[in-house]
Formats: sequence, structure tokens, C-alpha cells
Amino acid sequence: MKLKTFIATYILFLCILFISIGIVSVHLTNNQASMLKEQSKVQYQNIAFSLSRDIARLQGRNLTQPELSAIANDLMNDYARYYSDQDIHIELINLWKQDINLPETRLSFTNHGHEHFIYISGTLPGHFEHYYLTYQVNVSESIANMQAVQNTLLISAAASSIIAALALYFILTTLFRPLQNVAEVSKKIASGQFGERIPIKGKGELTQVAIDFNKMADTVEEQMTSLQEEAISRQRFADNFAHEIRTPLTSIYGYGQYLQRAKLDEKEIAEASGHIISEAQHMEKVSSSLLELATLRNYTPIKDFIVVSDLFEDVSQAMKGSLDKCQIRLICHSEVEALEGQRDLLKSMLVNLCNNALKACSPEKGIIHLNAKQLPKATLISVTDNGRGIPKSDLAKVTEPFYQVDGSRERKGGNLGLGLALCSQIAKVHGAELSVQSKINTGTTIHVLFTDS
Amino acid sequence: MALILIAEDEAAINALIKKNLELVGHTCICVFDGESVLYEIEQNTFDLILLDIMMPKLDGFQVLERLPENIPTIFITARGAVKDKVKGLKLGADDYIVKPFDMIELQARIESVLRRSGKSENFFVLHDVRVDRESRQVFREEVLVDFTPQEFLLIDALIANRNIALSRYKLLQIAWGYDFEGDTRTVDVHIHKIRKKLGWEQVLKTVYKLGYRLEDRSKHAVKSR
Repeated sequence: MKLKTFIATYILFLCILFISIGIVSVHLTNNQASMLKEQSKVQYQNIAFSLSRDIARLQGRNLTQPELSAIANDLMNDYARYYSDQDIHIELINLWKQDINLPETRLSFTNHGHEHFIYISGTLPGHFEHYYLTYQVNVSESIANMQAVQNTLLISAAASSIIAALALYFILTTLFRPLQNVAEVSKKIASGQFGERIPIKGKGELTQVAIDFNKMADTVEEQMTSLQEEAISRQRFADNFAHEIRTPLTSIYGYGQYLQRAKLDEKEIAEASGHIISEAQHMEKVSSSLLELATLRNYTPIKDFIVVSDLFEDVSQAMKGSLDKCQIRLICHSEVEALEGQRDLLKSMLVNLCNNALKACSPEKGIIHLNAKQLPKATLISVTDNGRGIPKSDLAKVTEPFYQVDGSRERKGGNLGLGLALCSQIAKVHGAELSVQSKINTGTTIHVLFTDS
Repeated sequence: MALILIAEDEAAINALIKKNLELVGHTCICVFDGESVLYEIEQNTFDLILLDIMMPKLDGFQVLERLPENIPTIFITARGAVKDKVKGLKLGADDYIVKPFDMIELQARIESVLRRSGKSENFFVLHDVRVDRESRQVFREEVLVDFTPQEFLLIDALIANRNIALSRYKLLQIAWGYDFEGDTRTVDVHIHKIRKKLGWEQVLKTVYKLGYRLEDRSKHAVKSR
């Protein structure tokens, strides 16, 4: 594109330049030629006039014709000598009594080799029609000057076309830079560097193109990022799921083999079979939780009006045992009378959230607040603890299945890492939104926001 | 026998591996997180480390990056993806075993890694019998007993998996090779011959409905070079 523009513009420029130089030089040549002619003509007329005046004076002396001719010849020689200094050659021909029809004054250009001449011939004015004067002037110098001027013109034209080429290239490069940027950046984006953008400078159509292009790149990048995140989260789920299934399976298989193949005493047999049973129970728990999660995904809750203080009472009853064991307090406070939802699901959600809060708290010092608040057009239920908190980098992942804060898939105390995923799903089917705020060593608050439909 | 460090956060599996490895005479130390691995290798010189990948504090990959190069390492993990395997082996692990795994397979892999690093046992001694696994000779009361190569391969498989019952089929696979198409009764015949030659009627036990087990309850029966 750039090259094409360059070639086209340059050819156009060269045509215009050389056509105008041609016109100018033709014009100059013509001008010069007619000036030379005019000059020569004037000189010729001067010579003719003074000659005829001299001859007229001689006639007044009553000389015979042959005498007259001789004197005229002498006179003529003087003239010729005088003018030969100026590179002018003149000749007078006496045509007395020679009956020749002489032509009128005429003028012509002649050249012999490299020399250029103007040639004028004609009869003398007055009554001397039988004298014929020829005049020849060497104009080589003027012509050479003229050609020198033409050459200078050509050289300067050539020089200016080179300068013009450079200037044109520079201008085009500047003009095409935005397009070049677009090309480079789109190549990079095509190769997968989605973060690349075109630098925006100035105004105009190309800048607008760049702005639009950047907008497009933003959208593409956003979608790619979200796709990648989705893929990563799926991969994480698959990894975790595999771990969650394979770990108990390894135990069951391994202890089974151990029982079968090794010679064991009664204590060892009891231990090995105990492992098999507890691992099988764990797998049962995982599978039923996952099933619950899967079922909830397409579930429509059977909604009722629930008295919130009753619901909270249920939750604290359910939590009582484990709260007392760790000596952690649960404080319920409700400003809301009633809430629409499926009671058992909401209870299971709140128990789950309180259990998480309990695990985060250190025994004896922990306090858990369970609050319900009326907001304009919404109800907010929150569970706040003063436990160890969740690292900031993990906040987005906490509602993913199998997520556990310490990174390992430890299963102390029967943790499955499915609780918050379930809570989030329960909130979702109620049209509510579950969000997490947390600060390390200060505590965590889980908000569940029910918007009034 | 070898000193093996087991790093696995799942207590049940950790104990299981330990029990199995102790059956064949290895000594095991168990840790349950990544940081403890780094602590333990300062305290002892291990012949092998069995490393889980998903562990608290430091994961297996991170641990391996910090380990000195001369300790053989086998990954034991639930992550079966090829890219994880490649990553583990590229980091310098000697093997990569995906859960759930067969204990006999684990034994075999451990044995092969130990043999490569020159830390496998060379002699097996039980009562009056001594087996030199390197020169493939069997002595009874320090008198060379005449063993066919096939008989030796069989006794070697039983020694490598002692105290663990091996099915006749498994023994065929190990001692005769995977492409052997013979009858499992071949195993019975060879076992019978070995028992007779070494007086091992009470040592090489028949396990009902399963196969055979070489029983050696003495922990110090083995000398290593």
C-alpha cells in the first residue's frame, strides 16, 4: 500500500516536473531565438542604412559607374573589417545592369558544424536596389548560453526529484505510521499477545480506527481471560475431584491388598479394616454432597414465609454442640421479620456458614455474629467471625467446589471443601448473592443479599 | 535395607505405605507436609523419598526443587495428567506413580530405583540360607545349592516381595515375563523344587486361594553392602 502510493505519487510528480520544464525551455528557446533575430535585424538595418547614405554621398560627386563601384567596394571593405571584430561577416554585391529579380529582405538560421549563424540578405534602401547586402552573424555563444541554461534546468530538476523522493518517503512513512501500528499490533494479537494496544496520538480517521481497534482488542482480551479462567477453574475442579476420589480409593485398595496378602495379627487386621470403612464413608459423603450440588443447580426452591428469628433459633440449636465444645459464642440479631425461601435449604446454608466460621476461630476467643438487616428493597443476612481470615488471592476461589484455604486437600474433621460451594448454590437458587469479605487475622464476613422480587 | 522418607499428607495412605515397605525390610520415616521433608533430610541420609504432590505448606514440586540432587525421588500423586507427569519427571524425579496404585507395583518401582542408585540389597539371609542376588547364587549352610536360572528368578521375586502374598499369575509375570504363556502350575512345580532344595516348607507358605508368600519376620535378616 505504502509502496504503491509512493510509486504513483512519484510518477505523477516526475511527469508534472518534466512537462513543465519542457514547456519552459521551449518557451525560453523561442524567446531567445526571436530576440537574436530582432537584434540582428536591427543591426542589419543600421548597416544597410549607413551604407546607402555613404553611397548616396558618393553619387553626389558625379563619378562614373566603375569608379563608384570601386569606391563602394573600398567602403565596403572598411565596413567588413570593422564588423568582423564583432563576429559579423558582411558582403555587398553590386548588381548594376545585371537584370536579376532580387528577392526582398529575408532572414534565416544556418549552422556549420557546431557553429550557429544568422543570415540576412536584402537590397539596400533608397535608390540602391542594385546593391545587395548579405549579413551573417555568429550566434554560437548565445545558443551555447541557452543550452547551458537548459542543462542547469535539467540538473536542478533531477536534484529536486531526488529530494522530492526522500521527502515523499518521509511524509508517507509519517502518514502511514498509524496503519503500520495497526498492522504490527494485529499481528501480535493474532500470535496470542492479547495485551498489545495501539498508541493513540492526535485526531483524525486513522486515530479513530486505532481507538476502535483497541476497543476490539479489549473485548477479545476480556473474553479470552474469562475463558482461560473458566478453563483453569474447571481444571482445578477436575484435579480436586480426582484427588478427592483417588485418595480414599488408594486407601481402600491398598488396605484391602494388605489384608489379603500380608500375614497380620488381630490388631493389624482391625486397623486396616477400620481404614477401609472410614475411607468408604468419606467417599459416600463426597458423592452425596456432589450429588446435592448437582441437583441444586437446576432446583427451584419451594418458597415459604420464614420468620427469621425462628430460623436463627434453629441454627443456634444445630450449632450448640460444637459451639460449646470449642467455647465459641454465637450472637444472633435480626431486624427482619420474615424472609421468603425454602426453610431447610436456608437453615443448611446458615449452619454451613456458621460451621466454617467456627473452624476459622480459635477456641475460647471466637465470637460469631449472625445478623439479618433490612435494606431498601433487599434483605441482608451476614455471618461474621473474628477468626484467621482468608488470603486475598483466594477470595475468588472460595466458592469453588473442593476449595480449602490451606492449599492441601487435608481432610481433618471431615472437611470436604464443598460447604461454601453448596451455600453459594443455595443462595443462587433463591435469587440471592453470596459474597465474601475477609482480612487475615481479623476475620471473615459472608454476606447473603436477598433482593425482593 | 533402604531408609525411605514417606511424605504424604493423607495419614491412612502414609501408614499403609510404611506398613508395606516394612514388610519387605525397609525402614521408613513418615512426614505429612512439605516443610518437614526439608527438615528430615537434614537429620538423616535417605536412600529414597516418596513424595506426594498436593501437600500443605510446600507442594511436592516445590519440595523437589529444593532437594539435593543425589536423593532418588518417586512422586506418588492423584494428579494423573500427562503434563504433571512430564513436569515431575523433568524436575528430576526418578519415577511417577498415580493413585490409586498397586502395592506390588510400588515395591517393584522402588526396587528398580534403588537398584539404579546402587542401594538395593545384595544379600538375603534367612536361617541357614544365604542368597547372593548379584552373582545369582544360593547357599545352604554355606554350600552352593544348584539352582536353575528360572528357579533363581522365582526366588528373587519372592525375596523382593517377602511377607506379601503373590498370586501364581503375578509370579509368572515377574519371574517368567509378561509374554510367557505357560500354565500357572509351572509356578507350583518350581516352588516345590525350591522348598525341597532349601528346606523351606515352613518359610515358603501357600496362601489359600491366592498364591505363595515368603515369610521372614526377622528384621535383621538382611545385610546390605
